[in-house]
Amino acid sequence: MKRDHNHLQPNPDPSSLLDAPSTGKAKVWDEEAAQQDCGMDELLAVLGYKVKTSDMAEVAQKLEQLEEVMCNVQDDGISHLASETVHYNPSDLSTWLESMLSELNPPSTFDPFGAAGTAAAALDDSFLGPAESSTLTTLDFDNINRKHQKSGQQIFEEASCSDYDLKAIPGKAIYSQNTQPQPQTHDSSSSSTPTNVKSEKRFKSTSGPPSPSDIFPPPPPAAASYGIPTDSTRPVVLVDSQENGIRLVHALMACAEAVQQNNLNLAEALVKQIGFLAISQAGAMRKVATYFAEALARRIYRFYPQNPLDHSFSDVLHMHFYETCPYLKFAHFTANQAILEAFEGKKRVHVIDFSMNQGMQWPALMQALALRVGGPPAFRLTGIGPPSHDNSDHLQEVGWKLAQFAEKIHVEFEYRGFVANSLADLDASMLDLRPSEVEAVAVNSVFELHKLLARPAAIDKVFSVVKQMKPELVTIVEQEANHNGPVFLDRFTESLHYYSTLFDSLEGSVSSQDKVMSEVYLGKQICNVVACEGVDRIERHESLTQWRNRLSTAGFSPVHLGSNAFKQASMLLALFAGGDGYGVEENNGCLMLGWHNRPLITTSAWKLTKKTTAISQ
Amino acid sequence: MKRISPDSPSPQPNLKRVKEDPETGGFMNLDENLLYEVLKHVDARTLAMASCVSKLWLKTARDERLWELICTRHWANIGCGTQQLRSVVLPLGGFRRLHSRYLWPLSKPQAASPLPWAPPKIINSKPPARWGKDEVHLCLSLLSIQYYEKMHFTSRRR
Repeated sequence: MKRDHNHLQPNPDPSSLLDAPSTGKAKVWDEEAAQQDCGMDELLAVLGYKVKTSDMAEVAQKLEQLEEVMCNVQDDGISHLASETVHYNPSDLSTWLESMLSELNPPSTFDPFGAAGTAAAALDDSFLGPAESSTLTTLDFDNINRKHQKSGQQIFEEASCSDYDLKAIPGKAIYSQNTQPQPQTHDSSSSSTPTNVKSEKRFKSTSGPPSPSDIFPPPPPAAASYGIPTDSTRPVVLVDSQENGIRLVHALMACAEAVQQNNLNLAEALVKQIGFLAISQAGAMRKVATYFAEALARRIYRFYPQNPLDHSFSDVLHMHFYETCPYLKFAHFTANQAILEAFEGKKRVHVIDFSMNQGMQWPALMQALALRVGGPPAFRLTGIGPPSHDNSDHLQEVGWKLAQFAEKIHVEFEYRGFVANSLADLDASMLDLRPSEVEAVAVNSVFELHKLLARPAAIDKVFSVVKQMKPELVTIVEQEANHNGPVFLDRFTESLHYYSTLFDSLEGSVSSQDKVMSEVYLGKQICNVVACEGVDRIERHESLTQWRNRLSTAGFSPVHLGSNAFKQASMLLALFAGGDGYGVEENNGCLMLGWHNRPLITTSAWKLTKKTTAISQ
Repeated sequence: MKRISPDSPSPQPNLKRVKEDPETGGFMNLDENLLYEVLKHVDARTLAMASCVSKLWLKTARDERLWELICTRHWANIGCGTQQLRSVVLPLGGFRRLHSRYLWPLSKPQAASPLPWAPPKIINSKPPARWGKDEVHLCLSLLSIQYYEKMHFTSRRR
């Protein structure tokens, strides 16, 4: 189908695709309102090409031709173009194209541009070298797309790859434009290569004058997508990785925003870009970006992670996370110290652990109890955990191990394991509680309470059950972040910062296998925060202030963690590789572990508020 | 660094043996008990080096009681009795392990073998003259965790 160059009139239709007014990062596209700049096409000017608006049609034609030539004449004579070409400072686009064309002796026919060959795509084709009929497109392609967002036209639809059939994606934004199907051209190329000098200018796009958009045909509907990366991504040289880092963050934010606005096509294009940009980074940023990109993709494609994972696998991940970084150890140490102090003088003690996992917290407590003045108390442990999927009684196994351990150090030990899908299923009566004069109770929860926030009544039920247990102490360790806000974009931003910090702190760890496993462990959390909703979204982290409010409302008052806990925690951190970055902070009696001054987890201790009955007479 | 004298006897407990060995000096002729008494007074580094001398010395220098002395000599009173301490530390790996894996790295920067999870990078480089209560408690906890982990994972692999 021939590309129609006739409608060159500006087509101001700003909001046909973006339903909501853009906010946040997308505003950067709004900034420069449509102002013609001495006749130069503004959008391309941003890329560095000075093209007069009046020339645009011509330029587009030439680009078409060029692209045609390149894609058709694949094997002969232009292999030099197939290698990485970096085009610096293209100030006169028209003549340059002319020269290229004259070299190549273009065929006389026009190809229907269809979805694939937009000017930008062709441009990039020429720079990056045409891949053999596979994928080429670029980031710029998408960039220009974004520029056109405001003008409300989806232009660069590529019907190329059927594996990206987006019919499933609801939302009429893209399809509402026109319904003429356009043929798939074999050169509908999309591959994003992460490098490109032009990419430097990518994110400075503006809404710009609508005119360039008219050059390109209206997008084909159905099965359209932006740059579709397929196989032949060439390894390309990165021009500026730091700038790419910034772009990466911008792209992430922009994608999240697009998702929030339900602009799924834009989001999809962006998420692909993110994937490639992420490769350009090194270290923590790359990994974080990859996980977030995956999570966003899952959200966009509605391909939710199949919960739950095999229990033994998540155990393994948990263990590696325990080994690699001090967070869990810090949690255990500080909680144990508080419990130890609360149990002073008691002859029989009972710990109810909401976060049993491998039971790694309890050997240290048992040892400390064994060494206390006057000898150890009788130690009873009730462990609560999710059901295991392979019919093994995981909780019982852990109980056996702990019993063996207790025997070694001569501590009287009793254990019971409870399997529960959710803590809210618990009831105090199940726990065989003994009177509090006989037995002192402590409740411990490490990274478990936030999962209850998915259903509003659950957390209150759990609090009331805890109160029925009449504990001496409740120790709670939670992530220090607000990932439970109502607005998706806010959650996304917060979690991006949080997990970036967390991944950063992992970088210093020694064993690479441990590190990778820890990253997978965290990656699952990222996926949950970003991709899931409703009851599936269990990683609903809340900050200390929020927990404080909840707990005081529920009838608990804070207990200050002592200086022993602080000192032990500081020493523990000193023992860790990369210990320079970790720091312990005290916050009104709670201890926070952070990385470079960003608090990441908080341990707090609580007791029941004694109700004073006022009898008025 | 083991120096094994040519006719060093196979270790048998509680046997007084006087070696007439012209190659080694008189110090090597110490029997176990005497050696033990001498080693009671050395510091950790010397004790560790002593275990490299010969099989006899190795056996003697590894005696838990000596390492218990090394550990407890300089640490704050943690409130429990000796027997109580022994009954906890010995099953969990012993004082020698406690010292070499936890107390020593905590006090000396990068001097000892790496901890199971990471090589220690101690920020302050001055070794404390004493180990405070917190250091001791931390090390004991780490010892117990290490023991539990080994126990846990060996049986898992079964």
